Amino acid sequence: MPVPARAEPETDAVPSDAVRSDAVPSGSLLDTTATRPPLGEDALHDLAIDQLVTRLATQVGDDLAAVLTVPLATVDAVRRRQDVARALDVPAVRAVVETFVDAVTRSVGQHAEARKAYPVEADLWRLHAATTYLDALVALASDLPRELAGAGSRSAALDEVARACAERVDEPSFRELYARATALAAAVHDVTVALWLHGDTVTVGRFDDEPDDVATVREVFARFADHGRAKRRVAAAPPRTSGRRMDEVQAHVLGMAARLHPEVFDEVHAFAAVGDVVDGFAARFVHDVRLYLAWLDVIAPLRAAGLPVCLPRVRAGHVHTDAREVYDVVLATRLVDRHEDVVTNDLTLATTERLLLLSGPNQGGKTTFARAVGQLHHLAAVGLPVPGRRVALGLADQVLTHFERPERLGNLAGRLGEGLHRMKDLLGRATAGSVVVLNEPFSSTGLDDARFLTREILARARATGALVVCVTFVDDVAGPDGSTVSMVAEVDPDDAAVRTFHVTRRPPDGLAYARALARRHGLTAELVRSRLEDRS
Amino acid sequence: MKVRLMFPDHDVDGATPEMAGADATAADLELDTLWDAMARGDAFVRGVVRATTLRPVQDVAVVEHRHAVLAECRRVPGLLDELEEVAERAVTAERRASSWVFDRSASMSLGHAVTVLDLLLEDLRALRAVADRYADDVTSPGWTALLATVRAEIDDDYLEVLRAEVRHLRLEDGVVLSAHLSPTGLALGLVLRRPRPENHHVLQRNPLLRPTHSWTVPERDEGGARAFGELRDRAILDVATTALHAAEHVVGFFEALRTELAFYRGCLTLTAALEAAGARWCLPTTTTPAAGEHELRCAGVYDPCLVLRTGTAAVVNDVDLRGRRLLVVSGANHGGKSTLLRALGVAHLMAQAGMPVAAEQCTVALVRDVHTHWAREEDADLRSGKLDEELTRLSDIVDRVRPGSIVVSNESLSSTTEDEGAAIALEVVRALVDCGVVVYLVTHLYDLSRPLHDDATRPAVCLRAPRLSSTSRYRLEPGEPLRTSFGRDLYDEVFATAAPPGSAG
Repeated sequence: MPVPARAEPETDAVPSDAVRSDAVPSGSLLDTTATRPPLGEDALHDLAIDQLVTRLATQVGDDLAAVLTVPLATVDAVRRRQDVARALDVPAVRAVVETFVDAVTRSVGQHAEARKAYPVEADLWRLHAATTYLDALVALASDLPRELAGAGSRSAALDEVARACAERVDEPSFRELYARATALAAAVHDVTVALWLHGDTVTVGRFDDEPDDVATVREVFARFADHGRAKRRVAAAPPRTSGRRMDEVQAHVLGMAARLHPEVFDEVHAFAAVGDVVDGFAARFVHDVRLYLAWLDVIAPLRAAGLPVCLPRVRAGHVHTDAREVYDVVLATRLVDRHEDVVTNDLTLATTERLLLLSGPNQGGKTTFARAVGQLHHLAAVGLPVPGRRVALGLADQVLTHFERPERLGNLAGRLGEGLHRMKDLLGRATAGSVVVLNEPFSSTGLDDARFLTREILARARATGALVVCVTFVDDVAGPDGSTVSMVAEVDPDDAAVRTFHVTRRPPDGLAYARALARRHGLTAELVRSRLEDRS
Repeated sequence: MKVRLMFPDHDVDGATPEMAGADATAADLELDTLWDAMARGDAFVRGVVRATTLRPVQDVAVVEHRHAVLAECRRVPGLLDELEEVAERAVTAERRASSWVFDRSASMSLGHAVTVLDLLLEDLRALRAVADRYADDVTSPGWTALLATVRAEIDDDYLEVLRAEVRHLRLEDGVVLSAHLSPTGLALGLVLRRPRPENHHVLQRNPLLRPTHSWTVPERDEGGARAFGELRDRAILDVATTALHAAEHVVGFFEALRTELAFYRGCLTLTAALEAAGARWCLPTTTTPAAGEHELRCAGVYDPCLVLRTGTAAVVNDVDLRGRRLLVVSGANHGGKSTLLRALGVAHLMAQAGMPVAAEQCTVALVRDVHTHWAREEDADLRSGKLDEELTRLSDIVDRVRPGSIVVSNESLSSTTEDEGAAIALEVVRALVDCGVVVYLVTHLYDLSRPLHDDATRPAVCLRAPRLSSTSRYRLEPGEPLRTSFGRDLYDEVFATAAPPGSAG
């Protein structure tokens, strides 16, 4: 079988003008035009990216989480996202952004509440939704530029958001709206009413500065107050929900309060007609930024456990691959959760080295490493921080995987056939810009067959020019040329048993032994003196 | 309102920690026997005397304050009894109210608190009556101040205010409160208010400033009725908790009173028991030692626990430690050495609790705390393991002591060979004494007692247990350590044999 010619190194596999986009909508942080087709079903599962998507979806919803499956087409697009991620990783920037996201989310919820509220209450919800958003936007307009400037990293997308904020809060219409909402909220806050509950009747009047009854009771018993008890009982509070949501009685109280204070509530009613005040660019920004925040949340426990996370240096075409302390982000999350150690590995491939063969004993970490390399390339192409330190790699147009699936079909021939079909399909799609991860292909067949098939497939895979990572137990498939690299999973002979029991000879002289024991307990004259020295 | 029978300026404070190493000290000195005798079956008294013994006071004035109160308890019969009766009834107010139900809603809590306060009002009246009755009979600062406080603080005016307040808390005229509005119109910040009399109109119950609007929950509107009840409960939540706390505070005062009375009850029980056994006791003279100094002078000192256990008077000893920080007791096994050691340790703790001391006469300098290190015979372990255990305990003590602490050591380090044990102990004892720690030491290790006796730079008082043939058995005399141990005497006594020809090596 002739070995097909390798693809030319340093060629950009994709013409960059085909996917270039400059029509980024204001407030957007996720350029979704310069993209490739999403990760295939097999790779999604084999690289466990599906688990990450599921996890993100619980925080940001399915649509936004799906961004994690879509590689970007250009280095520029990757860098734009990386710039955003780098800025958001600065705690002060992140805090400002999270505060805003939280406020807008609340504002939207508050506006929705108005629809199911009692009449006066509905007006207040709309006012509340408006002040929540307006306050947040004013804060963002002043805080975001400051923190971005202090962060020392530039993000064109975030700068644009900051600029849009500043322009909006400077408009006269905004200033008028803001002043009106703020004044009304203060007026509502200042309303105090007096209530008299008697029988089944509630009577509401204006507050007449009646004295605090609890303070009076406390004062009468003050002379016994030195005699507390360690365990002070409290009367059980009413149900948690009580007082947190509007009920019939409170609605009537509010209605009567509004009648007592028409100067406030007529104005509130007029304001409520204004409607939703959230600006389009702000809604877009809040939507997009949540993906970054969610991803930073995913990797936070890994960093806390001391695992490196970085923004990779991504270049187009065939480049030198260098990644330190790489690990499988999904497995690591599980291990960190259980307080177990995570093993990391380094990966270095020269520009011309396009086939990586992984061999070694079972349970040696081969598959995990292969998966980690696949994840690394895919996540780098999505433009997010990746597991590892000082990562430099080429931008992959797609990551293709072929993992043995024993569960798929019953008989061996069928399974082999199915596997070969999948392989053929995979090879048909691979380009010189692709990353191909093969995990023990044909392990279910005989050794001769497996050796033959693996050789054939690897030759074809190499012919595509893709970067190929292959886990295999077949150890004599490597070609003679310099494009093949072999890595072996080692079993550490020392394990983790680093406990050393020093065995020292003990002299038969008992006094020496007893003295040694006393010394160990800090019970010699000098030691006792020094232990007592600084006490008085 | 303070009780101040235990301290001139404050009440017994539950937060003061026991002295370091209290458990080991209590076990080695067999203090359970003392506390059982003082309690005579009363677990509360036992708890108080135990707590007091293990918190040695560091102030002569406090000791003297307690002595004066105790003397008056003996002189004015009835005072302690009557106060105990009032205090014991008052602390059960909670139980007597029997209105505590599973539903701890604000309404139920408030109702319960009012019932308890009603009962406590009666107890306060009774307390006032006792104070009135005995006010002229007492002279000690502790009693005088307590009775005067009760009469001043619980005067007739105050009792009337309390009565009115408890009645008001029944909230029979409805609940008046203020509320402000949350941004979305919820009634928040509910504060119970006392209506202004001027807003009341003749023949109208409405206590609010006019104009007002009213709304009544429609009949059969269950949701409305529940919401109404919740609003009311939220309104009175604070006052219900405040009333519960008020009741707890009043009960707390009676508990504090009962606690301090229990100490004196225990002391009276103790002196009666000692007298019944024919043993003498005294109120010791306590002194504040100059830095690095120590003083203990006892005539006729004995271990009260031994007397309380046997019911008969014990052999007494005289000890005079003035200007010495080291007491070395050597001599025969079963020669009364451990008993003397216990007697001294117990005497220190009782003196600093303000209790009577088991001695005819006693002058004692205040110490910081008392640590004990007893050889633990029960550990039939490997030799090295047992030495290790002893050294661990000794090291723990070194961690805890300060200048002014006493370390009472009974045959320490006898779990190893003589020369090993003596060598280690000598170093530790000298270092402790040099650092201002007082050491009382019983040992049969000649290689330990002899160098300590001969050490002119660390003067020691040395006592020696007599030979068994001597007439004053268990009475220890001053004397330098002797090489011969008296084990052979004991052997002879136990086995009733004539001296064997060869002596044990």
